[in-house]
Amino acid sequence: MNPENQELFDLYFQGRASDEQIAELEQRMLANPGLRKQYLDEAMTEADLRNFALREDNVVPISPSVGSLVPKPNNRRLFVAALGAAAAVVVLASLIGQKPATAGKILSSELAGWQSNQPTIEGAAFGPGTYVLQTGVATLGFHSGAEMVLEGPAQIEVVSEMRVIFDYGNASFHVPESAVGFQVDTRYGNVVDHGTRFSLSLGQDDEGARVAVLDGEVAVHHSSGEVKHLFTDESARMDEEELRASSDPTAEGGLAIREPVMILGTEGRETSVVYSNLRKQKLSSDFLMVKQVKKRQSPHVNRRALLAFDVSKIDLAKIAEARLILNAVPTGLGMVTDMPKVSEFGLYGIPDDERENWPEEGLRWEDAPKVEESTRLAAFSMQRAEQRSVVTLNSQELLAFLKTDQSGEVGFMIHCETPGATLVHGFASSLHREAAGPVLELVMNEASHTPGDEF
Amino acid sequence: MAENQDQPKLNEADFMRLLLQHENALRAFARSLLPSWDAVDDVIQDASVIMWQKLGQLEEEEGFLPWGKVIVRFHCFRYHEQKKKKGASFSHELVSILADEAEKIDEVAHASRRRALETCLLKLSEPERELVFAPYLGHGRITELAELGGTSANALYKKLGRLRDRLRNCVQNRLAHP
Repeated sequence: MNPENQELFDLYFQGRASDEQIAELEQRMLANPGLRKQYLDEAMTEADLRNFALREDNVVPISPSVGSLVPKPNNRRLFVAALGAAAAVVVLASLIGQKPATAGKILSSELAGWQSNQPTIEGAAFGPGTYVLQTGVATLGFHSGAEMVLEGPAQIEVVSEMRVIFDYGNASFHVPESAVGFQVDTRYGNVVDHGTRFSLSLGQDDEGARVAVLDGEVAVHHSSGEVKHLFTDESARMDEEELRASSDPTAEGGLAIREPVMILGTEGRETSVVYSNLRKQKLSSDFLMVKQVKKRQSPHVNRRALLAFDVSKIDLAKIAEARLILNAVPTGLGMVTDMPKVSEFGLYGIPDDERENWPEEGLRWEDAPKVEESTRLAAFSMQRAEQRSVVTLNSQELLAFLKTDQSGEVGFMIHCETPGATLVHGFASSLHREAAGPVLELVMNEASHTPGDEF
Repeated sequence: MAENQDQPKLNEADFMRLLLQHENALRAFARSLLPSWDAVDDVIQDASVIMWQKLGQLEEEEGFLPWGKVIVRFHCFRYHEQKKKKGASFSHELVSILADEAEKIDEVAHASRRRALETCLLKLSEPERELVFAPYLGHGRITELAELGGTSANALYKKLGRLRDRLRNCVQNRLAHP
């Protein structure tokens, strides 16, 4: 490209162009359709960069629930405010003079599978709202200085940088002096921190909550009104009835009694194939893409996803339970509305022979493993209205397929079984920036991996 | 399409979802017709209120983006008429041509570009990314950064130009070899 054109574009978009430069740019664009195309590309890049910039600067408000924010149409001011919150219309937020609050940042994310309307990548700011961590471990750093290490499955509601409502899960907290007074609410009572490290374990059913102090002091306020102060190495259990102190710091609950689970990622062993083999135009490494058009339509946009896990170091005989977890994410391709309300998908096991040896790059449709030659292991459905969801597959067929593997790698295919029109279904690949890629969780009968290997 | 015949008419939640889904495309469209982000923000605000009021006109969700662009386009022209005394901007003739051409932008291609750009941004260092984002975070941000770094705004703009070249090349490469 002629650098002078680019320089004019830069000056124009930065608001630094003189009247003469704007007139010059206009003349060049009127005469040159190619330059206008470059200009429009530049405008798109400007819009995208501004979007990223505002997001990184935490200016963009994210709604906890879009529907609940929609006001009555006759209240324009409220409408504007709601737009500001729901649609990330940054200017609207600034017009009403409020920079939306954030409570902290996600400090780390280890194989974390989130279910939230909010950004959940490492480094992303989080605000008040509900977060469901399906799998993995994530560390949230609150602006107050408090840190929470959360182990999935867990559900929390962030109220502010000083307060969290804990629905269920296991977590440990580090609360420095700056955050003394940090409060965690549970359905049985509240824990108010006085500068400490403590852990909290709370199941989804009514089995009670356990609080253990590793260092420092917390005050536990039971819903009955009873208050107990716990100090280093002290713990307490509370349920609906009562709050009991216990001095046994080893009975820490959740983390210790959890079944031994191995979590495997694909380590990049994943790809999609498209019927037309136009991989460059039709596939993205961010997604495992799946699509099937109706019979009367041309199949050239049909897609299937392939993924595999290395199980060579695992004693397959000792697997008691297996869960394949996929994060469904919108690909942004096609229309949701021309799909049936519910689409069915099949998980297929790829035969344990040379058909498993598909390459991750450049794989052509005709060379990819075929549905009809594979074993159907599980089925699942997704609603078109819910483009983001966590899919957990744990069928007996899946378990049996894993146990009979001989090659050290288990390969799967995801196939859409409901013909649709334009929509391309997507599941996060291991490269997806927000959602975690596919994960195979194996519950072992006992500690059984090869000595020396660490998971 | 049989699928759509039994669908309920679009409601508020649909509107918010559609606006959220297409907001970036509408902003890019408006930016191609308007001289500044302030103007874009004003126009998008007015246009979204009109879209909300006229939502009944829209029969099907897939019509949202083209319909939204028509409304945004109208407000962009109105902006030009009202502001034409103040400072230079493109002529009505050029803005009309650009609007026609921008209405035809393939949003799937735009989405690929955006993903490529996002990946390419990760290749920049933190201070480099800060500089790339600076122009969107307030009028004086580049000058502030220059003062903090003991350099001139002009030098930073030059550096920014080089970073944007790198991003452009990276995006083109990724689109050519995904």
